[in-house]
Amino acid sequence: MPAGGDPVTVIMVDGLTRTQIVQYAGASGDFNPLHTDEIFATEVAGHASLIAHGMLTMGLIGLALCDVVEQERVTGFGGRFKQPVLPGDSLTAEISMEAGDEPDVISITLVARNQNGNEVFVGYAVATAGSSNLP
Amino acid sequence: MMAFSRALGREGTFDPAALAPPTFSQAAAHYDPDSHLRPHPGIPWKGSGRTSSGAPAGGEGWLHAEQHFSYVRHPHAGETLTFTVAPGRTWTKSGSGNSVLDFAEEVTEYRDAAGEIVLTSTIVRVRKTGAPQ
Repeated sequence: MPAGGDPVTVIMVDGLTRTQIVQYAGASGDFNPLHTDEIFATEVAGHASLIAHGMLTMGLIGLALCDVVEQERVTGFGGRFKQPVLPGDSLTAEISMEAGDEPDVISITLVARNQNGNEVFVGYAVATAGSSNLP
Repeated sequence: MMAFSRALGREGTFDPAALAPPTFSQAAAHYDPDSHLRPHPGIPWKGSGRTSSGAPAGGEGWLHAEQHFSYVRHPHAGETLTFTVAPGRTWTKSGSGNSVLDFAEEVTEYRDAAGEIVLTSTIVRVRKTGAPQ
């Protein structure tokens, strides 16, 4: 993917299931009932439903990032959780690249949106540039 | 790593040469003997059972607001990493109304068998507190 071009769009998940949220709880070790227990999430915590782990969203956009940038080149990755992700949500990643402030470094902007176009995660990545990736 | 990849929607076949997914270090919670993210024997858990909550929800209202990783390299299957956790910076901001937002970092360094840092994970947590004094 050339730096400085149009954002690349990657589908992160199409209709997030409770099963996938439970899978993530088991794999990550985060069994907070806000993420795994509909009764607790609604009756005790007052949410409309259980909510997905923020780190599930970040894990998904991390894999989307690695679909367009070789993982070995990624030296930094981070961001902010802006809105809860709920069962049934569909998420899309927008990945934009530009030359970084230092030579041979690419600065990457990451945005994850739900099916309503709302930002659920905004972040960044930093990668070392391949020879064909600088503008 | 196979289970983690499956949880992220991939087929997650066993690959002894695979790199760990970028956020895989989150799974270190399994190796934290005091992790508050899972039930422990003999200690009431706040999830539902006979009632909608088995224990007081507790907590101090902290939310996971941001997450940052810096990588020296990406670990691969078969490696053993050790980690140390330390508090990072703290700061406050004005929130909506008269509220105050408290921010606190937690910094975890992951090292390989040679003791070299492989990656650093920084969690930023936020909670809303009362009106500023």
